[in-house]
Amino acid sequence: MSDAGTAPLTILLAGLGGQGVVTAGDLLIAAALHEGYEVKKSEIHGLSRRFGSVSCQVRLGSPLHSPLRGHGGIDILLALEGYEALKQLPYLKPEGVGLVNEFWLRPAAIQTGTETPPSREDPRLQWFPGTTQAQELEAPRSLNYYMVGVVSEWLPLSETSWEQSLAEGQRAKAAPTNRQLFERGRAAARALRRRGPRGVPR
Amino acid sequence: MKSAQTWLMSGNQAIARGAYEAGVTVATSYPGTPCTEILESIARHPGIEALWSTNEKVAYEVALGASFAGARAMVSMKHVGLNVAADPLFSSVYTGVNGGLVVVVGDDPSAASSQNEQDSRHYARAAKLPMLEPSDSQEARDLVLAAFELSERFDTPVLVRLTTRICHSKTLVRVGDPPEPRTPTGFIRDFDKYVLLPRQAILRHRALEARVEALAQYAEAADWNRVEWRDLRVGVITSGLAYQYVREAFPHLSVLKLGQSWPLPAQKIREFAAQVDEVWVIEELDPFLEEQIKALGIPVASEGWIPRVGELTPERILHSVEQRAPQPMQLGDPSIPGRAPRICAGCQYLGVYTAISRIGVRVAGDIGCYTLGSLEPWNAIDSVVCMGAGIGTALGMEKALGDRVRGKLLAVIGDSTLLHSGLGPLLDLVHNRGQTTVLVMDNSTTAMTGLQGNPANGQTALGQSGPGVNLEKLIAALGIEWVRVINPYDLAESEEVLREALDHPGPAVVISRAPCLLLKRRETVQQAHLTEEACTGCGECFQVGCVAIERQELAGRPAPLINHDLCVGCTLCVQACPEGALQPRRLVPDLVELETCLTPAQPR
Repeated sequence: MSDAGTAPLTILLAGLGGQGVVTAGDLLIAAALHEGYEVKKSEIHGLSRRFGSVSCQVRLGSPLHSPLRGHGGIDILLALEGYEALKQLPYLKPEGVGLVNEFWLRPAAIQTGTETPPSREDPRLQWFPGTTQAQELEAPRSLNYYMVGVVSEWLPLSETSWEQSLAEGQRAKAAPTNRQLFERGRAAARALRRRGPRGVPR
Repeated sequence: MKSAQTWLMSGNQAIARGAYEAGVTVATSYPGTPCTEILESIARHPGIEALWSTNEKVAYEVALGASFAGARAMVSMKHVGLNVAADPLFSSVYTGVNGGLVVVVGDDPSAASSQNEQDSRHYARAAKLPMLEPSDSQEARDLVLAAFELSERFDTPVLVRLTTRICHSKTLVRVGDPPEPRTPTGFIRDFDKYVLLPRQAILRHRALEARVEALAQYAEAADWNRVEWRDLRVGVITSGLAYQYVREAFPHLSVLKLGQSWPLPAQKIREFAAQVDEVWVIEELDPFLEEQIKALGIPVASEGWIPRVGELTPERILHSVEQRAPQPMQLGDPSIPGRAPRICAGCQYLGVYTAISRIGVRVAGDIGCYTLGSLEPWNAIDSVVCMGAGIGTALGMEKALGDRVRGKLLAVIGDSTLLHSGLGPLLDLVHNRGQTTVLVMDNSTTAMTGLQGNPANGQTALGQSGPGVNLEKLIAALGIEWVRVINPYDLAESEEVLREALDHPGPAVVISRAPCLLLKRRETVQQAHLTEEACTGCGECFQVGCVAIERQELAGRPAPLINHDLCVGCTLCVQACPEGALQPRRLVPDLVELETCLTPAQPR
């Protein structure tokens, strides 16, 4: 399914500090490198902290120049939390797809009642029960593996590359659960794509 | 993540790798986003003296001394740090170097973690030293190596300019071999070179002007300034990360990529311009290249198109060029609430700012986690300018307003910032008979940049530990007689001591002391709990500003909802509650409800 000469694909990963957004980006990078793609990754450091906004961009394919794209330049948005997904929507191409974990942590502004929550209705967004699934396996911290499984269905990366990526740099204790969540995410995404086909966004 | 000798590295890591391969002996820095990880990464390489200095000026001078001694040396800092180090920068361009000296500066377009978005390329022209600008991690590694060669060849410090997206983006880097061992030559006395008396300064200035000529000539053939011929209708001149954006946005156009942004290769630019129908100059922040190119008599068709505020993206460049006008920086959809950075649950600052907001004073702030005290609900800080500015600006207000502000002025500064650039202002306060009160927030670390060592905690970049400076004695030695230490977790005491300090005739210093919560993962033994019937909805608990205190409605009144995943049991909200409705409850391990905040909730 892969072709290392393919046009660049840009994935924006977003979520909250502590959810494993950067690790999820590293998993994508590892798989893409194994597949022989050129890769670039852009991270945001600095003021993010636990439960603060965290995002990074992963780009693969060629020719690859910029490590990031701006508004309207993202093919796939992978979000681990609802508001973070809505915040990043301007980056998504009109024909792009947003894969979002069904989990909302209300920002402070909403808690104090000064602002109203925005609509979650955007036809590009697809919702996945990652948090519920991770809790079912008593591994809330492995949610990112579920969502990487989800996005894997949209990426031109082989089974071997994912095997390789998942085997790299893991704590042995968590590995089986992480693997299981990855598979669940992958299965959920596959089922969704069978029901209502939505091609790899270009 | 390696494959043979190709590694995926951030720009910061690549800079460190380049310095290591260049055989750097001494590397210095003061932490600051986006450059903090350069020194952290260098410290992990063998055989390098890596130092966190008290501030960027000292860092610069230590690196310069190492260079005088014949060692290769590198100093790295964020853009505003270069302002602090500007004095030795300008004069070291006169003395020149012995061992190569490379100065790495990280600009922060969009001011993601900074108080301004200055373009540090101006320093190269103002101080007259060469500046190299990498556009990815590979070039960051390569150009650091080249910068050391350039430094020694032309007897000058060399600036390497990064931007946040270079520092924090990861791209593949072909690395080279570890360095051959180098022995510094030792310091060789050379009066006319190293002693800048007026006569020597004039002689050195003459030599400097000749050096700049030679550097400009060298730039003509340097391989880091390269032409890529494509469509000749437009030729784009660019540098740094803007080059990658240009390639992404206009893959078909010819490009002159300048790896050296000062001094420019004038001939090369003229020749490039002569081959294309029109010239565009696309660069991030100021029109630094554009103005120099126009000064060469070359018309720049893109004049006025490129945004000068906020960072660029390929899309932003495309849009601006299409519209022939800069696309304004987009500050995010206002209908989606942001997540402003918050002070951690249970941090000492919560107590101090609750006390300050109860007293009601004018507060000149400073730079660190405690800057967040300027936000809701405390609104406790009224000015934040730069590192160390709080004490001086408070003294200035006092001198301007006299009795009108007596007992109503407070300067707030952290331990690391006090040692960075607050001691001079504190001494000034004493010397000039000020009466401003200074609150030192001592959390025993440089917290906001990621818990680096500093002279207050005695930790070095190489992991040595020892006693830090005794702040009470240090402050007393400056001539301040009224010094008190408070426990910031005692709300009543904090308020009382602060009031006393403000009333004191003469300068007074209050030290609020508690270690940063992130230093040690302490076990939470108790947490706050609400007795619903006792809550009257007065809202005092919300004024503590703790992220663990969420808001709920009880019987039509606002009431606290304690997030027990975040609460560390500091009891500040318990002390703030006038009704006793919030009480600490000891934790029984089985009853810990860790999942509280992880329960999926739908937006209303």
